[in-house]
Amino acid sequence: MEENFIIYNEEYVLIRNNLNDLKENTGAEIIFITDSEGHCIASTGEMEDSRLNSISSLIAGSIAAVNSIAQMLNIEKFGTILTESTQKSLHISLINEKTMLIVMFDKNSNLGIIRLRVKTATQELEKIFVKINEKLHSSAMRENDSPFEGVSDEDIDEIFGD
Amino acid sequence: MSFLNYSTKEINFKIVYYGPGLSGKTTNIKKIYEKVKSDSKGKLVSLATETERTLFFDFFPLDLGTVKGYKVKFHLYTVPGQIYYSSSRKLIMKGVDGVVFVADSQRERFEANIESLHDMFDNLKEYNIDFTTLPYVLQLNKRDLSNISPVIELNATLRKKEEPVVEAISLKGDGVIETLKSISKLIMVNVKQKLR
Repeated sequence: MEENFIIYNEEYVLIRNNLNDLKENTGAEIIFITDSEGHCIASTGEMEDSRLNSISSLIAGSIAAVNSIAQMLNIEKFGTILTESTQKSLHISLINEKTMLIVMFDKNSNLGIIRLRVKTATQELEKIFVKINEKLHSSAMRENDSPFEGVSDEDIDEIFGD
Repeated sequence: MSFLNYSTKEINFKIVYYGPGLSGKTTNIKKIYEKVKSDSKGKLVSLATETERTLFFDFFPLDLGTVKGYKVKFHLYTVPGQIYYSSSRKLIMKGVDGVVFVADSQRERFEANIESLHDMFDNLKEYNIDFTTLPYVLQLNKRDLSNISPVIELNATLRKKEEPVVEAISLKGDGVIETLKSISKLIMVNVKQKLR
């Protein structure tokens, strides 16, 4: 079974900085990272969390579907997917097998610049995710303050208002 | 596979409602959506056909509040029940933290429940998810109908481990929140043990 995916503060800050730089350099509206299970890992730009979560799950679903199509056609995975409209467009690129970078932009941004900057950004992000995975597999690096350590059944009942 | 962010103090879990076609998976999700406060839920996404059968999945994010300073968020998904949507079901099971099997109590759906259960085991196997340790709840739905199998009979066939069993009438909302509470608790207890 796959392990829980954990991000620590140090890497989270690096990811956020990377996304902020990318946003500044491309003029994109919103940039976020989602994993293949639909969890939004980090974002920059103005959007409510709940909306971002829904969009993340839909993108993860559509990427999974597109990659299944690729498999059936015996072609390599799609590294980049672009969906364009007259208002907003989405540029989706894979960082690694499990995570993807999504850039939402409007007509004020230049697609060529986005492509160029995303390429550099995904390379940097890939390194950060390698670091995250190394930490995940190094028990010594795990933080002691597990969120559920010391949580009682009563605490769990409480969140349901029991 | 839960996602824990120590920086933002957030933990996200994925729950999938599984079961045969028309067993009430989408109804469960819709009833939960109706019952929870508006500030704790995101938009309900439903990828359905024109006849309102689930095409890909239904989804909504549910914010359950905080436990020990960590925001607890659940992502609720359903799978399409029809046999021919097997690939979609497999995709949705990726990274699941807990499963609710929504069984249809009607006698004529007995075989469909068994078939769906086997399909679920196959999909779990594909992702190397160990069913014996997976948080799992069996919901016996449609208990208000006249042509239903007795609980003892359904349990004898469909209950595969010591999982909690909840009797439900999802259309009326009966047993729906109880099921969600049950699976949520199992997931949190499971993660608590894993993160030790």
